[in-house]
Amino acid sequence: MEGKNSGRPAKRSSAADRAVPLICLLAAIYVLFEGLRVWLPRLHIDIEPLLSLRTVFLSILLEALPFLLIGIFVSSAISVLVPASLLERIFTRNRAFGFAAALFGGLLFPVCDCATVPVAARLIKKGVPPPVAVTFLLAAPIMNPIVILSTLYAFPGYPSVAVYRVALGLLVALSTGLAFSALPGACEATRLLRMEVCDDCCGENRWEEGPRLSGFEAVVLHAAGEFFEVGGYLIAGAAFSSVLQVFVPKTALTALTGNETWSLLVMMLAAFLLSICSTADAFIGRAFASAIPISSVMGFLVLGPMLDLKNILLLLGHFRKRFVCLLILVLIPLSFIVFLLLPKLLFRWWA
Amino acid sequence: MEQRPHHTQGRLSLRTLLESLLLLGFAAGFLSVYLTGSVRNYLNPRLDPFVLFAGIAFLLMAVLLSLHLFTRQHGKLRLWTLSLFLIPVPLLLLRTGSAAAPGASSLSGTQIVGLPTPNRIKNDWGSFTLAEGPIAITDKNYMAAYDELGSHPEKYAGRTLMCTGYVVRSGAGLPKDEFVAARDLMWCCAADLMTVGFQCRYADAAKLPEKSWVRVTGTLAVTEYGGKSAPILINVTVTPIAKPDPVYIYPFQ
Repeated sequence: MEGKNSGRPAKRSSAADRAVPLICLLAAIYVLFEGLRVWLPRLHIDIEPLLSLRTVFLSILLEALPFLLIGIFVSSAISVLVPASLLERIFTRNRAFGFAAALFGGLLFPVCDCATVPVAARLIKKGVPPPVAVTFLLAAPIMNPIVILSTLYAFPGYPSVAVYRVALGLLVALSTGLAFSALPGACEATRLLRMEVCDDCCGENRWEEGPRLSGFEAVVLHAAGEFFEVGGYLIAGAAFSSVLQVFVPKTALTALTGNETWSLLVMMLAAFLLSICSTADAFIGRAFASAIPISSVMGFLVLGPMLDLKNILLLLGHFRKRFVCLLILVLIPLSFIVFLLLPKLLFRWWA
Repeated sequence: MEQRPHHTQGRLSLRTLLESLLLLGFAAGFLSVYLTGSVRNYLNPRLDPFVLFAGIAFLLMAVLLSLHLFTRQHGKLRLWTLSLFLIPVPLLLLRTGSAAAPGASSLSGTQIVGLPTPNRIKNDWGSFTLAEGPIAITDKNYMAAYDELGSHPEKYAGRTLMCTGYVVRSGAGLPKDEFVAARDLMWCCAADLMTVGFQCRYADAAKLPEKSWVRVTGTLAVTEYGGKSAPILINVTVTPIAKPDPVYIYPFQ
């Protein structure tokens, strides 16, 4: 009792302490924006690139945030509404069923790849074996019906491109998942997830008191919490991507087309850095198709939806650094091997 | 043991306040972009419903979260993380005008004239068929016409064609008397803009200001570009026009 009363004044001043830097920050941001808006044109600095940067940055956010929200809401719904043991029972019963569900579950997810990360993390937390969730994480963006359709449209007369994109994507996803299940100690959920994501923000843990929240309210509040946990990563990813897209000269990408291996590496790097939405990259890939070998195009088309700068940052929001590094270390060599070897066998007729 | 009443007790949580305000800011940003139509500068129209969904979702989260402003809670206020969320909000709400410069994204401009389409399949992009007589290219039939003309230029040789675009000369490797009447395609968002266009032979091409908007009328002929046969416009008349609004072509609306 006594401790509580004497504690209160101290708490109040610390709230003021936190408010002051915040107000300074807000003021600084406002001054910065106003200053840029007023002074840059006067200094005859070409603001076109900055305007482009702003437009590209906002367009990435306007496109990606709705899908991230969808993923977060699905993840929150699973968290609040699905009983803890249900998923664990379904998926551990039969390993093969688990992987099959992971591979084809993406068909139920016709959304941008941003949505799959929160869902995959939530599935692991709910007891789905991590290798299965990893397979889902990688396969879902490609098993997206809209992505498949856009690939068919982008390469008219060559439906095989879409077929191979899906097939190679599933192969890479499955082999990565199997590699994870072969790795000892990589499969413990607590070693994979940033557990703080749930401790601080969840509907069930965040509020100390009050009546039990209804299902709907709990889902929405949980989603709000998760948004603030991981949304920052998406914003950072969008910022990096937009800088790269606006300021990297075009010639850098099309220069290295001679050697097949080198060209594949360059295209995979391009897919990674540019973080193009998985429905659009079919058309970007087609634009490159005349200049580079088909294996490099497939590398671009399959790796793009699975792993890119925006995605990695989003993964870091949900998973530990160790897991993300492991994922990259397993995925890149595997996919590199797949893209180099298989198209040679499959595309003999393409020349 | 102290009796704890429901969640009206407790002091104001700064963290919840800031989060509610930020969510409100995002809601306002998304909804204003959607309602004012400026979403056209950023996204392909088929993504509009998602923007509306996000605006409503943000609003819902903001409102429900604000009901818990005075509830005691766990968790720290992480100022620097929250400040990251501050950046998009004013950018969304402030309208500073011009869209991305054409060809801004480094991906665009690599294929100015023809995308290779080895075997032509009749598609229904824009439900367009090339009838007899002059061909008028509009924003709605641009992709279908571009694809068809690019694949079978010889089939349409001798026909009259009218299209609009902005002038591109530098970087396309064209002779002095040629330019491209270019347009930007937005497949999904401004980040994936791709430049396409029709090659035009025009004596005074060098005098046309780069990136100025023109209407071009000419006769279709066949030329070679990048090792493949491609359409080109000859006997061209050029008329300056105002920049169209919206400025992009949106395939698969």
